[in-house]
Amino acid sequence: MPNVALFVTCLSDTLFPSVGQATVELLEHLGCDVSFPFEQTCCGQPAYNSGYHEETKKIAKHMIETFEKADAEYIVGPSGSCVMMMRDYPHLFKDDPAWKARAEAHAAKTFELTQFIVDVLEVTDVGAKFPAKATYHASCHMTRLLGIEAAPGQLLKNVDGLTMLPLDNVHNCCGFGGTFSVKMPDVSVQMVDEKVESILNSGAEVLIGADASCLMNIGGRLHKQGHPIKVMHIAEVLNEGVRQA
Amino acid sequence: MNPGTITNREDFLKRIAGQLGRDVDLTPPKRVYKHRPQDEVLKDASDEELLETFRMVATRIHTDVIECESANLDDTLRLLIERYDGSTIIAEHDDRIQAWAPQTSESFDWWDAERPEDSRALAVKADIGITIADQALAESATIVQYAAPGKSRTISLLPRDHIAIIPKSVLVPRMTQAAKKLAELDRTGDLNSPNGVNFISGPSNSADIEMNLIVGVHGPVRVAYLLVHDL
Amino acid sequence: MSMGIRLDEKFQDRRKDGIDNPFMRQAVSSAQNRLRDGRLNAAGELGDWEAFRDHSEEIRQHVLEHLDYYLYQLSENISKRGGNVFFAETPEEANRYIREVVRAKNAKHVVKSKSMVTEEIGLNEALHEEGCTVVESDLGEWILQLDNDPPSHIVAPALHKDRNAVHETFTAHGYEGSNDPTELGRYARRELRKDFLKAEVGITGCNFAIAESGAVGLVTNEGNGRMVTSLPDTVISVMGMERIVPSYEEFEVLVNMLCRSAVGQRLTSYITTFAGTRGHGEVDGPEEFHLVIVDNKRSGILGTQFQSVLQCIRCAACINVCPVYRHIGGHAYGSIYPGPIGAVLAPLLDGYENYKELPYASSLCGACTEACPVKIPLHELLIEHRRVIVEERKQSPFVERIAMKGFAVTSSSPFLFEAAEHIAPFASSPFTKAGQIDKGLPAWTDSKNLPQPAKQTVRDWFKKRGNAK
Repeated sequence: MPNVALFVTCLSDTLFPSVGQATVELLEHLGCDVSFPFEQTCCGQPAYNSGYHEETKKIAKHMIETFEKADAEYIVGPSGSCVMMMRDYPHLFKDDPAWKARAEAHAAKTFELTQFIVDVLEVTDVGAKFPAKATYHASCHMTRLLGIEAAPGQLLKNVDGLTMLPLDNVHNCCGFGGTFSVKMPDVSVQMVDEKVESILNSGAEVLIGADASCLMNIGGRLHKQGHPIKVMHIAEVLNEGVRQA
Repeated sequence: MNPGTITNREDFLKRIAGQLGRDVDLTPPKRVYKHRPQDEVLKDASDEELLETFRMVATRIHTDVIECESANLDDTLRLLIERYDGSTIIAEHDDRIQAWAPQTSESFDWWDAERPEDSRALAVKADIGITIADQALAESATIVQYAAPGKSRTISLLPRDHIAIIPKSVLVPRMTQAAKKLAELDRTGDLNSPNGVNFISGPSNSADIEMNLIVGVHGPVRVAYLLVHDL
Repeated sequence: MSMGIRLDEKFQDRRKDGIDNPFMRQAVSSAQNRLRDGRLNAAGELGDWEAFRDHSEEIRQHVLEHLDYYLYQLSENISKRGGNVFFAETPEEANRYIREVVRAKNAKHVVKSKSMVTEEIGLNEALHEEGCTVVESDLGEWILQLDNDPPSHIVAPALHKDRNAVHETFTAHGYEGSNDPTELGRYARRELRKDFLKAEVGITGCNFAIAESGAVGLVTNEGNGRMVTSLPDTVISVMGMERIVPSYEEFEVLVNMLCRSAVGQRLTSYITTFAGTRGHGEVDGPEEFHLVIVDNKRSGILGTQFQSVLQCIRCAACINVCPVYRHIGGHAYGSIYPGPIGAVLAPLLDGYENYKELPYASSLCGACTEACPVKIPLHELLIEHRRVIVEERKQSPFVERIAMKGFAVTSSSPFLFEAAEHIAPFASSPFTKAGQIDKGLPAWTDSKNLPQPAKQTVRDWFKKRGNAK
């Protein structure tokens, strides 16, 4: 039984707890032994991307220590972006060989949820059932920087009853970009509006994504404008129908 | 030829080396590359496949391809000139063209380096310029023209239309082979590469207005490649 | 025109002008779509694009590591081929030298082909002071010159103008035709042909100089680069010092990448190389040739964490995929180098003073890094600029600094982190309606809702569940 430490991510923990819960249930359904290292905090990406690398190092060290104590085979999180940050930890410790080695070991066992299911567990049909017309938002960090392109689509394709509709300009960023969205809201809102337009054009009732941050951004805009599109994390979708079983 | 001047070089190079954390180093560096994907492109293409690529790409870049044997070159050229409605023609000084060109035409002139001003004026007002390609590249439907004594860099540029005669024997897969040949000219001798090379792929064009393709901006409006199979 | 564009205005105001300009945005977004599709097609046709990117990167890195040698070799070979080489540390030195050449020729008419580095050093203004007329012969650049407008893109400088704007500009210059692009193009052809034939001096940029052959290479579609290097008796090429390759073999690789990345063509209509002065028995080509090699703060980038930006081949692929550029347009960046490459380069070439906000004009989506044919990690360099601003220059806003310090303290303490998680739902409740925060954080809630922090976090749920199990 694969031993997995959940990397819950702060957005999922506080704003979208159903995502974290679905992740736990889904992994258990797939036969994993899931633990929750309670001392985990944030991956530090907001500080890193804003240029506060000394601060990021403090956070990274705490996260590495926390997960070392958990001593799990794998660390799995429901966010491409947060996982990418943890995978990047070794770069922070270029001049600190001891911490660099620990960061590398930590990065090597950290996986994004869909990547873990498809590449490690070698499962593409989780047995979910979710009758809906949906479209998928490919988030930038997960697609471009982690290079996870196929896994989400493979998993969604096998969800019973789910019709996936193509999204125009799927490669375009939704405009979140962490602090970018509040530093330059004028530009960010133009970007999310373009994304909203593509989603509306797709004819989907449900927007699925693998990063709570993008979903918070796009969903926030959809809700502000009163569009009746349901926004779901892929963990929630894959857990549909599984939960009851 | 008198060598040119070189000014301010020493300090400039010192500053660069300093930034790189060392003294100026003028020993030729070894070029060891891990990748060489350029050799793989069209590597196994047959002559016929290269020709097919050349034709297909030429069409894509708004260029006519006409094919003939050397015995018909004279007639083919004449027909092409008629089709392009060319009344003033200027042609590159090349023995191979000279042997076949339609010398009957009154308005047909040769580029003559001995008469620079006349030649330039002729090229400016000519309807058609005729050149012979030193090389041709299948992948991009490109012709390569070397600058050389008695030759012109502008016959293929100033006239309204350009006809390039291409001996089939000069066709190579891509720019990789052309570049290799040029590099070898400089490695074996002392700067033997031509002092001007033009890689020409179709007519002059621009997309500067609303990304709309305008064919024929400063250079030729029409380009024809006249491919001679037995040369 | 030197590097700056409308620097007396705030970045925020320049952005607003871009966002409020629907024509510009339509033009930019349709151009971006076309250029992106063209690039992807051309890349696909090449076969192993990633191997080409790897090779291009290693060529550029090799050149930068041995830049002193290759510049030495280039200058030796140009000199042997009869050309003069001038090394200029500053724009002033470059402009002074070029003015001297023009003065010595007693030249009154100068014709130029497209060159970013001459924009960077403000060469046209310097030549005007010398009493010369200077004509930009690239169609896009000519349109801008007639209109006294700066470029908004490094490859398609007049991207922000539509045919009606061009028509208006040409009409003011004496044109009497329609707004059909081909007809407009024919007018430019007739007018500029006169300038090519009359010019005593031609000035070009340099896509890549070829060290081993003592040659300068130009990549064009219109043929103006060929006119400028074939017709005038004196030719001056100006190059940024890093725009150099060892030999024709590397030239070929990078030219292929440039054409495909910039405009989606296998090769552009004209790839032209010229080496020194024209040969014996030649009519075309310069009888006098000068190469001006410009540093202008580039050497200061060598050997630093930003060195990879010097790998740039100015293809604009990063600009063509950038969503921020898409919405604000080129002029908003305040630099002749816009988009991701501009946001990295402008602070390095012209200081953080005018450009310290540019590194933040990115959602770090990484589209630029993915598109770059020479593998410059552009979004990482943007983060590195932010780090320099925060940690070395200590110029980040006070409130942000406090917030980030607080964030770090909280996020390295499980106790504080969990406490913060539990306070959040109560702190946010006054701004909450039906589980959604819709006011109170203007930068966010003016345009988007935010879910209210959950009263039960995942960790609470997990703990409870464990107890229940």
